[in-house]
Amino acid sequence: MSRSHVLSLTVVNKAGVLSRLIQVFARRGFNIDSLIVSPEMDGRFSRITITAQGSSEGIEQIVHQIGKLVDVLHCTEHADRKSIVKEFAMVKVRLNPANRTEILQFVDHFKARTVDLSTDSLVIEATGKTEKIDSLIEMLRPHGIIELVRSGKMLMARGSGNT
Amino acid sequence: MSKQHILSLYAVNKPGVLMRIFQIFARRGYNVDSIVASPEMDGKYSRVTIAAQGDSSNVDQIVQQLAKLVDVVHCEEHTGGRSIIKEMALIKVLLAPETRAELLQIVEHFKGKTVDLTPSSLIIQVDGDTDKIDAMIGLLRQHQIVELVRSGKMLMARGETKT
Repeated sequence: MSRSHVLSLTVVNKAGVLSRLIQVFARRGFNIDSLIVSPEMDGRFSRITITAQGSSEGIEQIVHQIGKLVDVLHCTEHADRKSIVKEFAMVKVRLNPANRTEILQFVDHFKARTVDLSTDSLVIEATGKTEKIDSLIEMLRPHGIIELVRSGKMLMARGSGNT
Repeated sequence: MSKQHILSLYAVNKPGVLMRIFQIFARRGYNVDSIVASPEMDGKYSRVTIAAQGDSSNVDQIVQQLAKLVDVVHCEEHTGGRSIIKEMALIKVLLAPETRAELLQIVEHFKGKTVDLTPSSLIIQVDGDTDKIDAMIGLLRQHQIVELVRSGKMLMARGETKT
């Protein structure tokens, strides 16, 4: 059964590690839905969160293969329950005097923020679960979305343990 | 001169595209600081924001090479002025009854949100400029950060124009 899997990795932050990682997915024909890479506290290691579609068995093999790479410290797949999954998005939407109030109400309802306002466009910043961001986008779609940037899923285990 | 460059790409969302993008950076010895890749509205295209360190004199070459890839629709380097650059972070810190009040004050000051609270740990969600997040991490460091996930820089042009 093909479904969405979220993997969390800690790797050494140096050139070439990422392309080896992506090769593991590409070789098996898995498409990556979203990918987040950024340095950890001291800059020597990077934290990577990958969302990919595929069969559970296939993903399990990928997790093993990635775990074997020299520069990967650990790689785990996460079931959503005991972890916090958040996403960040910026949406640019077309604005006219007639729909401004309505759009600002949406922004308010989704506890989003406006970061840029011009006479005919508005940039909205929203954070939260994937479903919440999806439904905000759905509400804004009829008004004309000019563009959209999403961070993809970010994950952290609940409690004091490491992810 | 080596400095950080932020590139924004619009590419077809299919396996192998990301790998070809990384290879261009790796071949020229650029280290990629952060990457944010996630699908656009209809899922056929992805928006990729890359922050990379390297020699300014050949960043133009990289942009041109990226733009030449079959699956890349467009690629542009952005200089801060006319664009909004944001980042989101999840931070897990250790908590003791004595430090709780102070931690919550820090969260409030940086307009962060607490997303998980246990007797011994706290997860904070914060978004904003890179500098703001760096400043917050600096303050939290005294309280022992267990782990940190950052989204990396996300970029959108101000006003009505497309990024």
